[in-house]
Amino acid sequence: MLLIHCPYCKEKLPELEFEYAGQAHIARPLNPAEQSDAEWRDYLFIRSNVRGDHAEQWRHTHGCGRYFNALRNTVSDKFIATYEIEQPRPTGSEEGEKSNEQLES
Amino acid sequence: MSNLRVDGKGRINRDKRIRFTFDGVSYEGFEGDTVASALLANGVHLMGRSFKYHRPRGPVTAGSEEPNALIGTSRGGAGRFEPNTRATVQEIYEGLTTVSQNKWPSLNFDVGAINDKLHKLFAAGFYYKTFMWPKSFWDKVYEPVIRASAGLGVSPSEPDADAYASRYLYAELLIVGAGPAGLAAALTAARNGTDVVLVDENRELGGSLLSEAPASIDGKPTETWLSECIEELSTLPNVRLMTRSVAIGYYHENMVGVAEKLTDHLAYPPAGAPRERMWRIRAKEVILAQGALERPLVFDGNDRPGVMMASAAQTYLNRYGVKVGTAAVVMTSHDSAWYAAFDLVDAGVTIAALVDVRSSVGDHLLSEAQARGITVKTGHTVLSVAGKKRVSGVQVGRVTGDGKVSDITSVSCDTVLMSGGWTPSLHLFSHTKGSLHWDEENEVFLPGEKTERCHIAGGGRGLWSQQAAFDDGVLAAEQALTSLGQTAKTISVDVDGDRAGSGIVMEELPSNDDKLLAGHL
Amino acid sequence: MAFNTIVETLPAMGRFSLRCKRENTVAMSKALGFELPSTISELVRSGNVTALKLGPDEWMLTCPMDERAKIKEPLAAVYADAVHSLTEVSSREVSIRVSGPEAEELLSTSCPRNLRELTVGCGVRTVFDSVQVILTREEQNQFRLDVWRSFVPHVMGLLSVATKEFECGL
Repeated sequence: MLLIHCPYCKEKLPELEFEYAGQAHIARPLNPAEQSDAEWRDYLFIRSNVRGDHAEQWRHTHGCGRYFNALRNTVSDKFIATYEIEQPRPTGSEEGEKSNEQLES
Repeated sequence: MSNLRVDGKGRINRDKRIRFTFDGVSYEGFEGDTVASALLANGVHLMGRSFKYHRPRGPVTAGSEEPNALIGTSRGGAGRFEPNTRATVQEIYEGLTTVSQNKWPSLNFDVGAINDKLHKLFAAGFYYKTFMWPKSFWDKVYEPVIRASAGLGVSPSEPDADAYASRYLYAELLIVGAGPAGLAAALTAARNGTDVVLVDENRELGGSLLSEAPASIDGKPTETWLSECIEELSTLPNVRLMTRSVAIGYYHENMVGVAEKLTDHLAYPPAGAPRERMWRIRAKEVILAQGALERPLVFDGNDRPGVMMASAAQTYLNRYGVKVGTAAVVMTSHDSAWYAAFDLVDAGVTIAALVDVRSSVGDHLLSEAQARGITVKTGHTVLSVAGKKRVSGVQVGRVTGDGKVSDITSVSCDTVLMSGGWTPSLHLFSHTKGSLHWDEENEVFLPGEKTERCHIAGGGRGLWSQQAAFDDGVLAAEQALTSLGQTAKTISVDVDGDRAGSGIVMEELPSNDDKLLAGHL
Repeated sequence: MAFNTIVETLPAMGRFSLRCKRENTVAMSKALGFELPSTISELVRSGNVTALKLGPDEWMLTCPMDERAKIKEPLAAVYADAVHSLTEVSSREVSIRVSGPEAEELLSTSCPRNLRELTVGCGVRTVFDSVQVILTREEQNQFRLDVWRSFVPHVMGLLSVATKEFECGL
């Protein structure tokens, strides 16, 4: 069972209080009506499947209740950072970021 | 019924006799006995049959690593039958009822053992090839028969009647295993005021000190040192000692699952008591001091009742005061079995032959063996085992240069004690995705890269002597305390009469028979 | 082994969930007549009213049943200037008090938090065997669990099983 640092409670707490909530930093299109079907599909369904550092949302459901972002390495299952929802994605480890680039290219 | 107890040996309570049954026969043991040690004291080695060929099986170890002596236990009342309990772990209590497994109609006379004679026909996958035809036979004949004879033990037919408890616990330091390394680590950290939890699967703390006591520790008899050590640890408020507690899993961020057995050793558990308690212990630092497991050797008939690990025989003698036989042949590739042989001779067991596959061994071993009048056969090997439900003898031969065996002779014995060296017990460490690396020199896998804040101490790092284990436990505690930001005051434990040893690794003992010997299920 | 920890349910009390943005907390505090706590897990008491900060913009306010107006009315009065959400949840939850020398250990049977780190006078939302609860450490050996009504039989059941376990001394 993981220990997760909640950026709002400022405490490292048991995973049981948290819920995973999907990939982070996916902006909702400002005007959905202007989206093509393909763009809307990408927004709704297309997600990365990183072998490396993955930016994702978590919710401290049984705590402060807040959604926050986390950078987690999907191979080691270790959190590199957790940060408030408005903050930009931090840079992960060199190795973790490399696999991200490979995936995107 | 023979009595194989040795006076003055063992940590059992001889003032408290306990009666239990095995396959309907009543046996007597003492408080502190396991089912296996009590049966062995009564001369019973045959405790079960293997699940496919129904080969007779007896205990090969004296601990939780036991693969053979699996029994069914009934703790009274519906829903309290458990199959596949290790006889080497289950403690006896007044009224315990146990049964053997995989036998039909009885343990002594088993029809299914015919499969063993025909094992060449029943190769792997024979069920699928042999029982295809005629088609209508499958449902009515083949399947019921196969189902009756296959599998390990019998599944319980009633819902479990017991309650199980759970607990979360946080600690600065968790130590798994209370042998020399674990105790040394615990003492170091405890005296420092660190919040320590020490867990061990046995009923008593001490680990290998219980089965192979060195002459003295810190100038005191081992037993005195050990009881003083436990007394000190148990009076410190920052220490929690947990016995009968098995660390079953190592999860993320140093969370270790520990299953504590609460009532399985009690004849009359308190009303409403849970049977086991599941601890989820989250520690800032973990020390794994789980020691090492002795490796078996591969030769024809090495699963015969009466064939067991040399260290197991030593444990039965020193911890339970039981001679596993009256005449033993020792087959080894490691020094440690020599010491086991010496202990057994000193307790009145005849060593019919001490066979070492190595052509030369240390002079001190040879002279100690000579002093005890043991027939030593270095550069020899055991080829096969005679006897069906109990060993009656072995064939021993000289290993020739080309890997064959010559000058074969028969030696009578009722026990064969084997040792192929030791393997560090790193199962929990492997749960953490920690890597293992192969140590060429000592031919063992040792812990490599770590992913958690854990330290390995003692036998787990391929250190075979008790002095080395004590020193390594202190070192591991110092490292853990440094990592916790505490300054550790170092301690030292001095062992006198330590028995360090070395050996070689054998994949399969030399033989003149080309057929593959492994795989007698 | 003597076991001296008592598990009891408390009489009903007034409970309000208050949500408001950071900029409005000053107005809230002013209306209530005491400073709302500013860090999560902090509990403030003013007379019979308590306020526990559960999240960045969330507080749990409690008071005796017959003094609920003391919370409702002043906040309603400032609503136009300081927008907030005040929801009465008095009958949603039941409070369970666990008090006695073994209280912390008794709760550790089902609460995954490190309870040693929960200081006296603080409270947090957490889980108790997968049931969401608000856990407050009222004194060193006294805790209060605020549990949603429908989960109370489950939580009380677990606590009574745990009590029996402690009583048999194993």
